[in-house]
Amino acid sequence: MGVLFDNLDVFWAGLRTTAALTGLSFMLALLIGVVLAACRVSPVRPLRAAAMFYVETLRNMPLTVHMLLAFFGWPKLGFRYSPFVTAVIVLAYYTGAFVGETIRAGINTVGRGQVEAARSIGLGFGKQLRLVVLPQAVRSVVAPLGSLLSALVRNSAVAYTIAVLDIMGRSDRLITTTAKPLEVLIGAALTYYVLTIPIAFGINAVDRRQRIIR
Amino acid sequence: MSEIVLGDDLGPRGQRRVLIATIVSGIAMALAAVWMVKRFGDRGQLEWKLWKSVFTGSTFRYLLTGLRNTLTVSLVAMALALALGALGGFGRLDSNRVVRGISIAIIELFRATPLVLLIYFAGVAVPRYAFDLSSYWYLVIALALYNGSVIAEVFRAGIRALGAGQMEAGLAIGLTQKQTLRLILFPQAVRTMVPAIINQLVTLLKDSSLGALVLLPAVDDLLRRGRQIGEFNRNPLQALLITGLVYVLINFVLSSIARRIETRQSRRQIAHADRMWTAAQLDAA
Repeated sequence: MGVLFDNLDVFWAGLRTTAALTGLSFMLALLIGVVLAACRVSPVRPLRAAAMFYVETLRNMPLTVHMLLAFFGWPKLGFRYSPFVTAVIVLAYYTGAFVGETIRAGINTVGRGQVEAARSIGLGFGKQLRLVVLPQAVRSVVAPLGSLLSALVRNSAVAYTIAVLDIMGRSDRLITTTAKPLEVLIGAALTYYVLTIPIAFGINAVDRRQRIIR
Repeated sequence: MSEIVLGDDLGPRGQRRVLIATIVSGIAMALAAVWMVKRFGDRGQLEWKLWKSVFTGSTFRYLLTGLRNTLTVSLVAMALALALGALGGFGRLDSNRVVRGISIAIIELFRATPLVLLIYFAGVAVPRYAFDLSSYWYLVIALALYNGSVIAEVFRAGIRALGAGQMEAGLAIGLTQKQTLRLILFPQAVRTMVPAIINQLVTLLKDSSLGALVLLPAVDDLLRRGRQIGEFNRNPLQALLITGLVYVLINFVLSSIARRIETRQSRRQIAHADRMWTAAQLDAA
C-alpha cells in the first residue's frame, strides 16, 4: 500500500479534475434537462418531437460511442476542443437527456386534481405553475437528480478513454509507471468514494426532509 | 403516459400562439438541420468515398459479428446479474442482522464504484488471484457484479412496493418468513420488476462497450469493430455514427418493449382499483 501514500498528490490532482468535470457537466446537464422537459410538456408539436428525438437517440447510444465520436469525429467537422472540454460537453448532453426525463416524470407525478384545484380557486397559468405544480414537482425530483449526479461522477471515468487526466486517467498512468495495478486501482476506487459517498448521504438526508406523503 | 394539461383546451388566442410557436420552432429546427448538413458538406464529410465503405456487405457482416458478441456478453452478464441480484435482494431482506449488514455493504460497494474501474480491476485481479480467462469473461464478471448489485436494489424495491399486508397474510397462514418471501412476495415482485430489468439490460448493453476500451486485449464487440472500420478506411466519423446507430436501434426496441409492459401493468392496476371501487360502492349501497 506504500504506492498509495507515495502518490497521494496524484490522486488529489485526479480528484480535482473529476470534481471539475462532474460539476461543470452537471450544471450544463441541468440546463439542458430543464429545456428538454419544458419542450416535452409544451403544446408545440415540433418542440415535443425534437425533445423526444434528442432523448431517444442520445440516451440509447453508449457513452463510450459518444466520447469516441466527439474525440475522433468532431475534429473532422472543424470542432476541436481539448479532451477535458470535449468530455464536459459529452457528459453534459448525455446526462441532460436523463435529467430531462427525470424532470418530466416529476412534473407528471403532480396529479391532475392539483391543477384543477388550483384553477378552481382562480389561479392563472403562471401562479398554477409557480405555487402549485413546481413546488411539488421539485420535491419529487430531488432524489432522482441526486442519483444522476452520483452516476455522473462514475460515468465521468469514461473520459479517461479520451486522455482526460481525471482519477481514472491518472491512475492508469500511475499503473504504467509503478507496475502496481491492484494497489493503484484500490486507491482510485477510494478516491471516487470521497465524491460518491457524501452525495449518497446528501440525497438520503434531503429526500427524508422533502418527501411528501401521498 | 398521461400528459399534464395546465388549464383547459386552448382558446382562440392560445391556439394562435401555439400555431406561431409551431411555425417558428419548425423553421428553426429545419435551419439547424440544414446547417449541420452544410457543415458536413463544407468539411468534405459527405463525400461518397467516405460513406461507401460503411454501406458495403462485408462491413455489414463484420459489424454483425461484433453485434453478436455484444449481445452474448450482455445476455450472459445479465443472466448472472439476475442470479446475483436475487441473492443480494434476499440477503438485504434477511431477518438476520449480520446477513443484512454484509449484503448492504457488498451491494453499496459495487454500486458506488465506477464501472470502468470495476472492469479494469477484474482484468487485473481475476487472472492474478483466480483464473486466467479471456477479456470476454473479465468483462462479464465485472458487468454481472455491478448490475447484480443494482438489481438487488430493484428486487428489494419491488418487494417493498407490495405492502406489508402480503407478508402478514403469509405469516398468518403459518408460513415462515423465508417461505413467505419465496412463495408469496417474490413471484409477485418479479412481475412488476420486468420493465425495470429490461431497462437495466439496456444500460448493461451500452456499458458492455467499455470492454473494447478498458481491457487488453480488447473485447471483440460492436464498438471495437466499428472503430476498426473507421481506422481502416480513415472515416472514423462515418463508421462511429453507423456503429452508434446500431446501438440506438437495439436499445430503442428494448426500451419500447419495457414501456409497453409498464403501461399494460399500470392499466391493469387501474382496472383493478376501479373494480375495488365499484365493489365498495355496491357494499355501501
